[in-house]
This record gives sequence, structure tokens and C-alpha cells, in this order.
Amino acid sequence: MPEDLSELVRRTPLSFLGTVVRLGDSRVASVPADDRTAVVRVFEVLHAPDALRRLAGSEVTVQLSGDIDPPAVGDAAAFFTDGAVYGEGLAVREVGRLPADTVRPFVTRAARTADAMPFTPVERDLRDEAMVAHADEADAVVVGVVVGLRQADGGAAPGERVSEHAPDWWLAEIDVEYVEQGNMTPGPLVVLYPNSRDLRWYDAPKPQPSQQGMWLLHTTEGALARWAPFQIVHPDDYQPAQRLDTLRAARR
Amino acid sequence: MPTFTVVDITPVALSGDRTQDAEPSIAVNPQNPQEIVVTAFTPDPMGGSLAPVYVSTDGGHTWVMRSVVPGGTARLGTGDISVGFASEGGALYAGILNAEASLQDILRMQILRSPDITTAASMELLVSRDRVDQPWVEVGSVRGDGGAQDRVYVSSNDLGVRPRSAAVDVSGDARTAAAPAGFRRNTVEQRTPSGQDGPPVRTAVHPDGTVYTAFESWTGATPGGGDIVNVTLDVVVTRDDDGGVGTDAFQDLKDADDSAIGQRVATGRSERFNAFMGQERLGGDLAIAVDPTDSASVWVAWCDRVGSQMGCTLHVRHSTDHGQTWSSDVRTVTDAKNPALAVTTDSLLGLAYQQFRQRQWVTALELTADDWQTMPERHVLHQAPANVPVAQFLPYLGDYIRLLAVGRDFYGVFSGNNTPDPANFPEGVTYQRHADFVHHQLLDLDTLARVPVSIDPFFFHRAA
Repeated sequence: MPEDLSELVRRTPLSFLGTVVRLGDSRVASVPADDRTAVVRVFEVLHAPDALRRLAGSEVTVQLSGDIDPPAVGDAAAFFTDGAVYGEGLAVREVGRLPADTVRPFVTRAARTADAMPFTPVERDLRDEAMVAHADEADAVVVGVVVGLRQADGGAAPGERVSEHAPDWWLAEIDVEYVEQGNMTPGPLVVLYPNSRDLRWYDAPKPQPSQQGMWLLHTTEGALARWAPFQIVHPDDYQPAQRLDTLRAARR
Repeated sequence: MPTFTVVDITPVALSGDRTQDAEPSIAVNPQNPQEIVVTAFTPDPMGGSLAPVYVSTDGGHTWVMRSVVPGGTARLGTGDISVGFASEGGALYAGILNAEASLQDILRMQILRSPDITTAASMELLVSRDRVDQPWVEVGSVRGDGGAQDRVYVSSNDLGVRPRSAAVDVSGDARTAAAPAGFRRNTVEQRTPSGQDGPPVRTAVHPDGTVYTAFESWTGATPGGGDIVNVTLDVVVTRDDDGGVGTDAFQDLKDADDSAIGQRVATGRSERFNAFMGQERLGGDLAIAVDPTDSASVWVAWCDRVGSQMGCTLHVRHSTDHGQTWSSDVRTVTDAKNPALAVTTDSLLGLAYQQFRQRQWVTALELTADDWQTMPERHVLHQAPANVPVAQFLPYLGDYIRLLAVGRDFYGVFSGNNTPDPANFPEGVTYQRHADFVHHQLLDLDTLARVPVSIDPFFFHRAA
């Protein structure tokens, strides 16, 4: 893998293999054409958010990076981009570019695997890296099963006002089977979590009865500490138990 | 003959979108109504740190999305957001809850400014304050020595200052001044509520300088099981006769009974805050509008729980003496929420709302010139099953929708189930995104793959 490919995937939300069909043109009315705009026909989406995975076959307006020599009409390349304008067409800002031949092996490999997109393995590696980094920042990492759930004293910390955005604090009792990180021993552990489904909290882990997992725990502070020593708030604070192997492998 | 337009504003380039784009707001440039901005709980499509706005420059027929709102996160977009255009000059103002701060469990209200909607630059931060909920923007303009000045009102529930939490930040000249652009916080609750006021605080601005504020003064709040709170409340209106820019602002209306500042429109009402109706949470629905031709004529709408009903009932009342005395209900709608009011320059009152009826969410617009004494002009804008799609988060459709009047026209926005079924849109509809109305399927960018139903923002316009 080219050294900078992984970094480009990390820095950009969308990449595609495409051919420059026009220079100094735009397919989006609110993006004026100039000498640094190009219309690129997308041959293959390499990595993308869900809503943009099916760009192949369409023409995308690319605001070319000033740091890279502009391509010529007919050139094929892998464009690494950020979003600009979404209208009757898509306009993106170029962040990086790699020769088409550099990424073609990924396209070929994706056709033979269950991977959704050619850079899915790269994204998987990046997600693993992010999980390991998140675990490194946690105060404890344990594997355990949820054996009890209850609301914490009406769900509100002392002094907390009534709001549609209130967290509605609950307590999960976890039977800890294994301690990967942190100064603790296996056995019962109470963990605080926001049970609210408000936009602000909905993607925080919501432990379920009998759910087994790897829990990335963070020390509670202030008024919350009276309920439990740890809390889980970040979406990545819950990981399937199998992810312990990934974490251990990265730490070897 | 009036014409009617309803548009699903999700752009073609986001035909694959499946996010829950709830709780919309809308701003229409009064000087150039071709310029319209809509916001919702829409995250940046590429997971960026700026939240997007939907922009139309052709009166709402076509839309683009660009990300200009700071404080967003990859997953959330922005928190609560409300927008307003200045009466003159094209400046756009926004009140938001910063989503990045919310990740640290902080309600951070911010007031933002953009010189116009053609810029791709991030909006400028003018004010930032913590422990503030549900900012709501209204904008007017006055003629000063140096030309038009933007008077900007951002009402909110300022939980950092309790129990009198209903507040309005006002700037008498916000257009060009450096941050904080003259904004000053005003407490509008002058009684002592039970712990705090309710989340919605709304303003209505008249060109003659009269500014009304409506809020829900909580008189009791007790646990109702789970995260439900049983609330009793008074609906209160305050007024300022000098644009809200002086000292002791919003103190020009005293209650006829207790002589305290703020006339109580209704007392002893109840609601089950955070209870459910049709996958949506309840609690805190409020709207106010003033007749642009008569600053004495003002309407208030709110929702509460009547008797033992599970949902909530929408009420509209009218004052013709600057908010001093109020009618009984001129309109009551059961199992309805998200009232939005606006009045045109020909004194036509518009009421938009969302009603849970026969397991559907029905979004309706009613227009009346006589407080519903005769049959109103009624439009069902949208109706669709309330259990599709399954809510990803709350609010499902939003804690509010919005209706505006510009001249004799009404403009509005609501969020709803985006199934492309003509039966769901009695007034007709246009989709920007790819949709198959024959087979009732959303289609992805390739116009082949099916996209699951989600919640989209819908723009509507009634042209007089």
C-alpha cells in the first residue's frame, strides 16, 4: 500500500477513481467554473459515506487543489476529496490525488471479496487504530456481561434542570469477567450511562440485559461520581467482545 | 387564485440520504423572497465539522446544501438551530446549540451571523453562553442615521439563570459590529416559577417597535416515571414597546389580575413532559404572531394535556389590545403539536401544526381572517404512517416547525416521512432527490438501488 494512501483515506470522506472530461467547467450552478474546476466522470467509488456510495457513472465537479498540478482532459486518477456543495450535482474539494494504477489493485481485490468498496480494508484498519487509541485514553477496559439495569435516582444529577436534552442517567451492573486495563478485579461493577434518546445522547451505548461486550470505561467526575465510579458516553465505549483480540494484537 | 407548492428539499446529489432530518427552521429574505434558507438536524453529508444549511435562490423550487454552521460534529450536525433574515440587507442570523459542546454534556447556545447566503464561508460567532436551551431567532430592521440596522432577537431557555430562565438576547444593531455585536441578555420571566420555565420561548416583532415574548412559566414539576415530568404551567406574554433595546426591556405589559409583569394568557395548564405520541416526545409547544398591520392584534398557540388524554391539545387565543386581554380558544386541535403562527400583510392568520390522527402524522395549514368563525382555508400538506421510519433519536419530527409570512405569502417548513406516495401529499409535492412515485420508492444516485424511507424536511409556499 502506498504510504500516503492510508493517510489520504483518514483525511478525506470520499475518494473515487475517475477520468477528467472537462477542465474549467462545473456541473453545479452555484459553483462557478474557473481554471481550477474540473468535471470528472466517476468510474469507481473507492470510499464514501453511505449516501454517496453510488456515484459511479455520474459527473462530479472537482475544485482542484492549488497544491497539485492540474490534470489534463482524459487523465484518469484517484481523487481524494471533501464535500463542497450538494445540489443537482455534487461539487467536491480536492485534497489529494494518486495515479490510477496505484489504486487499481484495490478495485480488483474488492471485486473478489465481500468488501463493500475498494478501500473498505483501509477503513477497517483505520477504525481499529481509532478503537485502540480510544482504549488507550480510557481509565479501564473490561469484558463483561450486563446483569442489571436501573434508573439513577430519577435520572437527574443534583441541580440538573428539566430539559428535553437531559441525559436521563441509568446504571448498568456489569459482571466483569476479564480486566484488560485499569486497576480493578473481575466481579460486579456499576457503570453510569445516559439512557436518553435525545439527539444529544442517542448514540451513547445503551446496555441491554445479558449483553456481553468489551467496555471502555471513563472515570465519573463531580456529582456523577456518587452513583458509579465509571461512565460510558462515547459511541465507541462499547465494543463486541471479539474486539479484545484486535486490541491485544495492536498492543503486542 | 393562490398557488401552493410543497417540496422535498433533499438535493439530488444526496438521493442516498437516510438521515433523520428533523426539527426544521426556515428563513426567507424579506427583500428578496427568492432567497430561502432551511435548517434541520442534518449532519454534514461527509461527516465534517460544519453543519449544513439548505439554500434556495429561486423561491424554493430548487435547493442546494452547503455546510457553513460551526460547532457541528460528524454524527450530529448541529444541535437545535433556528434562523432568520434581516428585513433589509440580506444578513442571515442563526441561534444554535453547539453539538461539539454537547459531547461534553454542555448546552452551549451560540448566535451566528453571515453577511448573505451566497458565501461559502463559515458563519461568524457573535455570542456563546453555556446552559442555554432552544434558541429561537427573529429579526427586524430599523432605519438609523447610518441606514438600516438589524434588530435581532434570540429567545431561549437560559437554564444557567434560574428559576427565571425565559430570556431574550437582543441586539439593536447586529449587522456589522464585532462580536458580541451589541447583544444583551434580558430576563423576560419576572415571577418566580417552580425551578425553571419551559423550553420554548418565542418572540413576535412588529415594524412599529412592539415586540412580544411568549413563554411557559412552570408552576410545578414532579417526576412522572422514567424521564417523564408532570408539569403545570401558565402561558405568559410580555411586551416591549421600544424594540426591546432599552433598559428594563419586556416590562410594558402587566397582568390584569396580579399586576406582575407578564400577562397570563392561560393558567394552571398541565403537560407530561417527555411523554410520547406517535414516536414523538411531547412537552413545550408554543408560538406567537402579531398582525403586521396592527401591533395590538396578537395570537398565541400552545399545547397542553386536557383531562386524562395521553397526548396533547393545541390551543390558539387572540388579543386585540396589545396582549392585555385574551379570548377563549379560537381554535382547538386534539392530539396536535408543533404549532406555528404567522400573519400576512392582509391580516390573514396562518396556523401550521402536526396532528397524530389514525396512526398517522398529519401536517396541516389553516388560514383564517376571522379567528375560525367561518370555515378556514385548510390544506393537508402531508400525511403518512407515524410508525415509519423507526425513530433513530428524539425528536422524531422535531420539537417545532416554522411558518413565516412575507407580504401576502406564507412560507413554511416541516419534517416528515419521505415515502414518495402521491396519497401522502394532498396538495401535491415535488422531490429534488430521486424518487419513484409509481412504486413509492426512494432511489439512490444510480436511480436503481432502493433507499429506505427516512425523515426529510419539506418546504411549502402559499403564494397569494
